[in-house]
This record gives sequence, structure tokens and C-alpha cells, in this order.
Amino acid sequence: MKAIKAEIKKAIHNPRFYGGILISWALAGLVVAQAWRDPLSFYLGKITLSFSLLYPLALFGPVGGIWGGTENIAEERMEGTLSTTLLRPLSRWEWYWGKAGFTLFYNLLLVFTPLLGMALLEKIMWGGGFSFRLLGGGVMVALYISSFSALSYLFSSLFYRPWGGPLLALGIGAFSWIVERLGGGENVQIYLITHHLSSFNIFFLPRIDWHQALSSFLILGSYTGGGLLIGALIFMRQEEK
Amino acid sequence: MENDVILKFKNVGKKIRDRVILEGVSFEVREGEIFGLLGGNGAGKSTLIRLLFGLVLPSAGYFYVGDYRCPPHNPEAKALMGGCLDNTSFYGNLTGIENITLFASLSSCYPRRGEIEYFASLLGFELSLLYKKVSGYSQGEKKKLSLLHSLFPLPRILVWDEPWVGLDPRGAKEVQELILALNAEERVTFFLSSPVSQEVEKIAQRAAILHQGKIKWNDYLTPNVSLEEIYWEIIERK
Repeated sequence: MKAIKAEIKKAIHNPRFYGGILISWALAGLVVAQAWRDPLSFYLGKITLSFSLLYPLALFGPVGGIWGGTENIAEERMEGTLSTTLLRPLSRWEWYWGKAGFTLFYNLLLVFTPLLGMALLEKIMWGGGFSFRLLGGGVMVALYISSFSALSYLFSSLFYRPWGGPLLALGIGAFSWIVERLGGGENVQIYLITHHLSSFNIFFLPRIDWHQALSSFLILGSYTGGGLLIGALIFMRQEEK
Repeated sequence: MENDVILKFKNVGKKIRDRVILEGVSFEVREGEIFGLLGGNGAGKSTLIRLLFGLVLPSAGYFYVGDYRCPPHNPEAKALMGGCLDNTSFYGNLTGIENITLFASLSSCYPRRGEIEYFASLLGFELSLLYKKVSGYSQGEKKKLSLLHSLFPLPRILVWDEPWVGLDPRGAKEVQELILALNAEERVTFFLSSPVSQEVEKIAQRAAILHQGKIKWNDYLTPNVSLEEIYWEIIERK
């Protein structure tokens, strides 16, 4: 808990923290502008504003998730602040999970603050509001972003340069996207990270396919949990020279 | 462990690849004393201090902090110590006081502004600087901040790596006075490292000389003992 509190204190003073949230709100602004410009297509397609926001969030969110990754282990290590922190009665394990916990929380903020704003706007305008389906879609997008954050953590724990982790995480994302575009092998594709870019759609079908939803949650959860856990194990074995 | 021993190194060794950094290091520091570790550049002083805080792990041997045997390192052992590394770093986008309170909170310590300002004034640290971002600090100011941050909470042992480096003569004197005051009034044990024998001689009650990763001398300092002479003798002996 001490480590998470410290992360929050640091974030409050960090312009990047607000930058990420501002960008997610800017995406919400773009969706509203699009609906303003072309309200008929939204009306005919029975598309809600909040649903329309999920796709841009899933598309650009990973950059934010990875961007958060640049702030993690490698940067603190290079700046020397990691050593200063570890002078305190805090284990490496506790420090790592404090940071990771904050990143997961931040990803939820990135997704849910504009989403809630959008749902509120809808409620005021048309009497709609926040629904279970929107919650499911939002969690799926947050998990998708978090799986990229986890990859960034994993690689960042390996490197002593801050950009190594994020670049490799982006590389894996790009590789996954290319393999998916090449097509074929449905059995393999489902395990690719970018295959789940639009998994939030499952929650907006007339009938939710729970089997598909669960498999997406499991695969993205494995990327997130596995990436963070392997990163932690690597980090535990390292030294600060 | 004997009652008054607070730090005890037992055959501690550290190898990085094929390079031997520390070999068979054994000595102890007693509670309430000022202990100086003298050694030239590359002697292994900073590595030994990093070992104490679990930043690096020993390749051989072990050590005690209070009653805690390390490794494995546990937070209870670190809670007994306050540390300042040779190059302690801070968050440049935070002010000095924000850095201090942030790091102190990791030790579950929440110092009041007045307390921080009090110790800052003892160190000759300009109070207005506490409210400025660390990115604008000079080398000496950063050094003083690193000493200051280790005082919250005031630990039983203060481990300071080269506390005088980067300070002007006045700053060095203020640091010496603070060490003596904390030792006399609060009974804080000091484990100080330095590459300069005069600094250790001025202040320490006991000292050890670390040369090429080995402890070459370890004894009480008396007016008859010239640490500098012993040091040169060891170096020239090879």
C-alpha cells in the first residue's frame, strides 16, 4: 500500500499523468463532434456515444499504457531514484507491485473517466445512461490496454534504458497485428493480442456470447498477469549497481 | 550477536563476473559509535554500502543488521538504517520537501514541515531551497538533501557514503557538527565511508581501511594513530 500511495503522490506532480487522461477526453470530444456532424448515422445505427468511444480508446489506449511503461522500472533505474527508494524498508517485490498496481488503476482511469462522462452526457440528452454492457466493454478495453502495459513492464525490467521496454511492447503489438492481417489459422489468431482489439463488441451484440467474452478475458488476463509476473520475477533477481 | 554490535559483516564477498569487488570482509560496528570506512576509489566502499541495503547481493558471506541476518533482506533490517548513497537521486520535478516527505512515507514517517526545516538549518541547507524543484539544485545542494532525507525517520544507524564529497569546507564542517550532535544527543550510530583519511580521523572513534576489496586494518583511533600513515603504508606495501 505504501508503494501505491507513493506512486499516486508522484503522479499528481507529473504532467504526463494528466496528459494521458486529457488525450482520452480529447477522443471523447472527437466522438461527440462526429455525432454532431452526422447525427443520422448514429441514430440509424442505434449507436450510442459511449459505445463509439470504446474503439478509439482501444486503438490509441495501448500507446498510453505503454507510455506509462516508460515511467516504470527502467527510467527509475536510470535516474537512480529506484536505488533511493530501495534504501527504505520496502522490498523489491512490494515496490514492483505498487508500481504495477498503480498502472492498472491508471488504465481504468484512462477508459472510465471519459466513458462515464459520455454516459452522463447521454443521460442528460436522451435519458440513457451507464449500463452493464458498457461496464463490460470498458473493462475489456482496460484489460486490452493493460496487457500492453504488462508487456512494457516485462521488457522494461530487462533493460537499463527507458525506451527498450516500450519499443519491444509496441513491436510485439505490431507483429501481432501483421500476423493477424496475413490471415489463416483461427486457432492461433485468438491468442494474438491485437485479435482482441474489438472484443468489447461482444457486449453490444443483441445476445452476449459469454463463451467468447470469457475467452477474451482469459487471454488478455493471461497477457496482463503473465507479463507482470514474469517481469516481477526478472526484477527480483536483479541488482542496482 | 554481542549486545552492543549493531552491524556485523562476516566473510562478505562480492564478485561481478570475474572481477572481485569484495573478498572476505569481516568487521563490526558497535551501537552508539562513529565508524569510518576509509578506502580509495574502487576499493569497494560503495558496494559494501549497497549490500547493506540489499541493492546488490553478496556472492559470499552474510551480515547482521541488529538481530537480522541478511541476506535474505527484510524490511525490518532496513528500518533500522537510514542511508545516503554516493550519488543519491531524487525526483527532479518535485521540490526538496516533497521528495523528503515522499521517501519518508515509505518508512511510514510523516514529518512536519518544522522538523524538516530544523534539520535543514542544522545542515546549513538554505530553507527556501526546500520549496524549489530538485532539478535546479547544485551538486552540493543535492548532497545535503540526500543527507537530510535519511534523517526521516531518525534511525538507529546512519549509513552515509562519502557524506563530504561535493560540499564546500563550510558545508563539510556543518555535516561534521551534525554527526557529532546526533551521536551525542540521540545516540545514533554512524557508519561513514570516505576516501579522505583526515575526515575520518576528525570524527570517527573507530575505523577500518578497505583496500582492493579487503579489510587491511581495523582498530580504534587514538591521538597516537595516524590513519593517513597507516593507509599509505598499506597502499605502498601492495
